[in-house]
Amino acid sequence: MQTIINQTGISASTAGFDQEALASARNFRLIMDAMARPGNIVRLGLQKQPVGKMSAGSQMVALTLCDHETPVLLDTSLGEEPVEEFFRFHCGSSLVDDPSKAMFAFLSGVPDADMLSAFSVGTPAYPDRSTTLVIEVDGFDSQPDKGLALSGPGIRNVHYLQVSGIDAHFWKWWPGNASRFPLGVDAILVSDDAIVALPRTVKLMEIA
Amino acid sequence: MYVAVKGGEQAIDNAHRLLAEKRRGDQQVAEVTTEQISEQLTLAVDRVMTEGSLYDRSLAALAIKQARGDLIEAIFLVRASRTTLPRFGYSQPIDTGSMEISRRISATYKDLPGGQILGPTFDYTHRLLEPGLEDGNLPEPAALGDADDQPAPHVLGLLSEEGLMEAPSSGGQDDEPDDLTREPLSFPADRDLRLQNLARGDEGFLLALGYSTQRGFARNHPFAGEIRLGTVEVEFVPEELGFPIVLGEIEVTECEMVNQFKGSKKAPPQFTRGYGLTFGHCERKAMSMAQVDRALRAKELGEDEIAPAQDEEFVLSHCDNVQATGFVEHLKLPHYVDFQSELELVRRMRKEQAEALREAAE
Amino acid sequence: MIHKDNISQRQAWMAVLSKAACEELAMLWGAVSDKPSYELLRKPETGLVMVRGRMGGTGKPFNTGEATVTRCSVRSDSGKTGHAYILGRDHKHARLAAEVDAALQQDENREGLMTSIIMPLAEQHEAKLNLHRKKVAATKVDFFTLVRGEDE
Repeated sequence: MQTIINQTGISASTAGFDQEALASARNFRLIMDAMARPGNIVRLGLQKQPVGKMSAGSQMVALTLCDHETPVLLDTSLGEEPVEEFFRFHCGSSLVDDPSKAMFAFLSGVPDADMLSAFSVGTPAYPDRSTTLVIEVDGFDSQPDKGLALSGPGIRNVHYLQVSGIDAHFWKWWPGNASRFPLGVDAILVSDDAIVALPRTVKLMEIA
Repeated sequence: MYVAVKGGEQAIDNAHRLLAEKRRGDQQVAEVTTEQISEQLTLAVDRVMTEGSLYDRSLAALAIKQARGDLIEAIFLVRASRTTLPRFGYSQPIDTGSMEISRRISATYKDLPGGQILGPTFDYTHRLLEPGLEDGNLPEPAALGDADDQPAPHVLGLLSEEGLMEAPSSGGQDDEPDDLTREPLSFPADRDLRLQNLARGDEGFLLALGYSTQRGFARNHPFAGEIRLGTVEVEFVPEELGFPIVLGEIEVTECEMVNQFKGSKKAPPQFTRGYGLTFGHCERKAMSMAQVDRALRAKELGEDEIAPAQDEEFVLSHCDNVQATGFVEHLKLPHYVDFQSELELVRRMRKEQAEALREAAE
Repeated sequence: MIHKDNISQRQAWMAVLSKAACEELAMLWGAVSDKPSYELLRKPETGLVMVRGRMGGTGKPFNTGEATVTRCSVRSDSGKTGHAYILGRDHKHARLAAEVDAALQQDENREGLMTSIIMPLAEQHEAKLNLHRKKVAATKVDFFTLVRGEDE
């Protein structure tokens, strides 16, 4: 009998974690750190083949955070058979079309304003029951005095961030989202295996 | 305030070694196997599965062996064990109407479709000890009868056709129930959460509460509308398949209690229902659960809430024996600092009182 | 798109596999020659399913308690994916059931495997049930309601 598998994991050929418990614990720590330090570029480090249009980073976020209790929305560009199968098989997540029902939205780009405002922002009793957006972008950099100036909890003074391959209306929409605190959505931007977290507490200023 | 203590590692290790030796008992006597527990102490296993809230016979048997037969300790072990396992999801609701029946009785209807089936029961035994069991003799084989394919519908369904029996529940068949293993219990709790809480609740506590309702504390005289024991299929829809599949079969006990209800502002005179469901064969538990479920519906039915069994917060907050034993038994752990401060407080109060008395006397 | 009849046929064999005794399944599957080779997509893994009941047996659902379940997924070298979800913690049972599920999806094998594996397992289960039913039937009782003298 031929098997390609190690003792603790899922076969590499189908894009699950090779060492499920260790990898998800390690990734959880990294994603948590990213959320605690908004704007920091965090490399998740495990190299994986893209599944459909989903980057290695998005896959790792999904394998770490999504399960049968987190309905997932995929935008039309990501919602292809291999990606859908990935979520159903590896995460056990149900796929939904209604943005307000999604705990996570995996997006190939920034959705239009109507959709952005349709995601769940949580309730006053349970502000955590909001959608987390996971958006694919082209790349990040953190040169001083350029791009975006981030401030807020988890940032000493100011943190500079440049994001390429993201539709600029996202930055126009963000202040409205942040102003609803404690309600609001959180976002994780992903490029290859690197992530940048933008929790709803982040204040953004675009630098000309 | 909790204050930590340090030390005692060696004594604790040795206490556990002594425990292990005591657990084994006289080593001249054959060791009990978990298979033996599972096969021969079946009802203990069933109780541990029900109140441990985990259907797994061999895990429950292991827990009973490890706990030296202390069932609440075994239930605690099973609850702890389940937290180490990932959740795959929720089953489709089991269909007790299509149960493969081992026992099925009704105290309200003599002649019911499918018949009265006693099954393996302690009922009608004389409760005399059988010394023969000490010698380990083989039992007489079970008698064989003629099995028919007669369906055995739920008894209370027959009454509801006349309109005198309330519907099995308010709410739709497809409603998504809440889950207290995911969200902590808050009050008022809906009936779905109450039933989940009661299903894992302590048999002794629920038995006493059920008994209290019969003795006048809540005043609803119940009939055992139907008790059934048997196996049902468990179905589950894996996301990757998208259709329901059978995972296997489990044994369950179901009890439907019927209570006469003289009517209130909220509902006309009719028969009302209480429901009990357990893993394995836990008949006393299922009956008590059904009684308490009914008592807890007081508010919904517009009854006076006068008895402990009707007090949702009292019942639900105290029926979990793992929580209860955790809080009661924690009193054994060192509270030296807490007690020292209490001691000083009492000394001071004594002194102050003595001084006050002296001043008054002068 | 999978045809509806195919789904119900697959549900039926998956049900039989889930209820089978693992040793019987291992013996029957072991006797099959020319088996494909399998890649493990998901090694046998034990977890929990929350079992639901209904109020009054037919009403609104509620969560009753969990059950251990072991799942496994394999892919045959001809590309068929087999899944198993089986009550309990028997990794071998889940693995065997997933392999047989994959094999049964191969059109040219199905009839043979239904005859050599699924039918015998279903018959064994039925035979056990029939014996159980006879024992239970012997305890069926008729209660007579007696008229008390003073009531006439």
